[in-house]
Amino acid sequence: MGIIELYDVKKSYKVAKRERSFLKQLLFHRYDEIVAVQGINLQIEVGEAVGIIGPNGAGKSTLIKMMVGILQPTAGTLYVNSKVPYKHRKQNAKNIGVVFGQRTQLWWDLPLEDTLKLHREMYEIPDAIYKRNIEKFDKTLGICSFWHQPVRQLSLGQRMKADLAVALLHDPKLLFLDEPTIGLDVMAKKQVRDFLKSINGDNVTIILTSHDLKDIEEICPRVIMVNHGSIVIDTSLSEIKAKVSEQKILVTFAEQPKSIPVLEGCKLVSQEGDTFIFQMDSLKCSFTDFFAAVGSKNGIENISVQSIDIDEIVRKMYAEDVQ
Amino acid sequence: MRKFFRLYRIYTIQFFKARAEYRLNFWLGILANIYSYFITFLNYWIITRRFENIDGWGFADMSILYGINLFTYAIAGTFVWYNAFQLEEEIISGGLDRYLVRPMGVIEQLICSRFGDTFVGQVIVAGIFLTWAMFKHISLLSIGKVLYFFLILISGTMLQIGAMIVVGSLSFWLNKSTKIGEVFYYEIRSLIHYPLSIYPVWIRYLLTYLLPWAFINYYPALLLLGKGNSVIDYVLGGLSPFVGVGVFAFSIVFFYKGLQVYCSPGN
Amino acid sequence: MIYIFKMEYRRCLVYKSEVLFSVVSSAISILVQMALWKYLYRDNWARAEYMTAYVILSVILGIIYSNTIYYTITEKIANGNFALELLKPVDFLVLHYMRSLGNICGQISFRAVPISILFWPIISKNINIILVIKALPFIVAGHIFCTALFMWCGLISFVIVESWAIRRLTDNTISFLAGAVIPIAVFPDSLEKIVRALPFQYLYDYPIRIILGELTGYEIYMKGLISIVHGFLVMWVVVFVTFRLAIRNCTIQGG
Repeated sequence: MGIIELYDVKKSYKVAKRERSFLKQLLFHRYDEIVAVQGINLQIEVGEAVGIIGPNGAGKSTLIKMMVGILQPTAGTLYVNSKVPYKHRKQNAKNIGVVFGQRTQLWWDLPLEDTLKLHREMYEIPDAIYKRNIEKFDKTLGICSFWHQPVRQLSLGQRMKADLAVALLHDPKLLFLDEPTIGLDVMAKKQVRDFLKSINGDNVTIILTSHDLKDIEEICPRVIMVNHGSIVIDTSLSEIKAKVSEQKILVTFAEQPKSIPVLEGCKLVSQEGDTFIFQMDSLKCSFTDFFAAVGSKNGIENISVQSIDIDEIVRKMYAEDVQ
Repeated sequence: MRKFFRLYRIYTIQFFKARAEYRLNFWLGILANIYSYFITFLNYWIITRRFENIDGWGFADMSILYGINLFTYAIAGTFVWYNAFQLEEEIISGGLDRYLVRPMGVIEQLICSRFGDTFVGQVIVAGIFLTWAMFKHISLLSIGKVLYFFLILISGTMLQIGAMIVVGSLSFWLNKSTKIGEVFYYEIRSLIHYPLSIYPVWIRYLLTYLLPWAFINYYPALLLLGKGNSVIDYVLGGLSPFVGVGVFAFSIVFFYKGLQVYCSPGN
Repeated sequence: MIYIFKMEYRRCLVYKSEVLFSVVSSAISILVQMALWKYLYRDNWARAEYMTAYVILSVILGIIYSNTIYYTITEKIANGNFALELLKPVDFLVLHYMRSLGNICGQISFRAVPISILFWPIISKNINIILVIKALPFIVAGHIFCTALFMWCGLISFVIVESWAIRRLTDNTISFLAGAVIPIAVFPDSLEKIVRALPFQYLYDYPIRIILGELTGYEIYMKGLISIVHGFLVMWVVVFVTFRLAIRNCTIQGG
């Protein structure tokens, strides 16, 4: 039994139609049904770290909200920790931690320590565990350095760390993160990513959505892409990278080349100063052919090969999916 | 339950800690409320002076009538007003999600999240006039009636809390529900500022069987002051505590129904 | 300038349901008060009629006097944009005034007028247009007075961060002393004497009684006008003093 199981889960929204006349708007309600999530099957095991990606409006948030217990599926069954989240909301809440990247859970006018004390009471956390966790968070995130400042005075990075501490204070088995690194600087992002990796090492299951694919790359061995309300791909990141067979080759010639050969599976994409950038599909064209074609008539001064950036890979996947 | 009270105490202490920065505003707010409602009582005094009494209700009687209404409203306000009338904003911004993710009831969390400090002024004014009026009528009162009086204050508060929750919950279904709430809760309830006997009978029916505001102060006052005109009046007076609890219970169910309908706006 | 006026005016109409409920809300509050006075004067039919008209006119005047200048100013202060505005104080005040004027006209058109139409049978019995014109100077002066008052409340928030309490205090005091809810004539004699010595009666009590034909006579009229001019001169002085204070406060804090 996985820690999260979805069987044919669907979710549709009723969106009120805008009526032309004011009177009708007041009296009648006519609805359009919008399907946000259609028939998703999913299993997530304990200790996994799963990244969920997909374009805006794909249904990721809806999916996460159903797993967290905020939304109720219109059809299908959904188990988190062997319970149905929206039916046992309070019990479910005890075992999960949630971080909303764009909205903080902290009390705005008071220092962090007050929010944590409140959470200790609400989740009934024993003193020993509370102390242990605070120490851990201080070591890894350095939260004691801004312990006493009112939350509204904290920087975005500090606030996010505080949100993480709050979410994990009660030792949940499952951690949901919705855009945790949004707006953070490079240092802070690294700290958060390292922190999440170590938490995952402690066998906490992590479900993460992010538009920053580096987050996913660093933390999640498993990637799920959601689009139009269904799961499009469920695999590991390395497999995705392996699937994409294209590579970029940057060539600097000794002198202005006399001719650029045309090869199947290989094309000149752009030119920056002296450097010519080629895109090569390694399934259709081999390196040997490339060198032979390009280097035979021109002198090559420098050459480098780049794998395609994960952003581009995913962008392609989004685009392909549209077709 | 015990957990709720413990948390409520902690939340409230922290709320005042946060308010401490705006100390002057806090006291000014209370002063403004004391002043405002003092003037309201002054208005009643003026009218009862000029007209001797309102259908047999003198100033002390009016103080009890309006005092019960104001007192229960103010106490209800400290628990629920801000949460009820700002619920619409929380729903629109999706801020309600925060509460859904925690192991405590949503209404309980809402009540904890904001203490209606500005209502303390009303509590003080109403308390003063009520105490004065009760002492004026000390001869009328028996132990039973005094106990009934305190019971009525509790049930009246529950009724008002219930009403506020219903008004707030409307925002699960409608836009700009605060305006609608204003009409049904504030405007129509203002009828009970005066004894219902001065209005045409249909108003009494409206406030008894449709929008039960009469059970907040009118029927209880009839019983307390012995002003009832028929058995029904006294029966309704006796029923008042139950109506209070009933409205409260209804409001909770209503709220959770609304919560079910709630779909947080997301990307 | 006119543009701002038009914008605020149109804004009143944006939420149709809000307009509807505002009217309903005002109407119900009128009906409730009418019920009270009808009862209190159940033996004196003429007086009851008089009071119902009084209530309606009071609510309408309330709408005319309502002024959003308090909110626009405090909003600016809260946003921290205030400092920039102080560079051109006159423009600043005129700008805010135009906005509030737009709002008032909007409120009049979409609240006061529907109310007048709803209660027309009652009003038309008691008033005629000449009387309304006679009362107009008082109403205009009252409007200017309220503007100055709310401007002052708004500026005070520069000193006391949240000044809604002060605004509430002044609002309630003036409504009471102006006879908005209970005509001054109903006050007990001792109280009546005190209140008659104050200028606030010219906001509600006087104009309403003029419209209802109770006050005639050149003398009273003149005396009233003079008192009002006095009243709002004082107000303006207070406003400007506060303004100076606000500017000084602002520059001391470094803008």
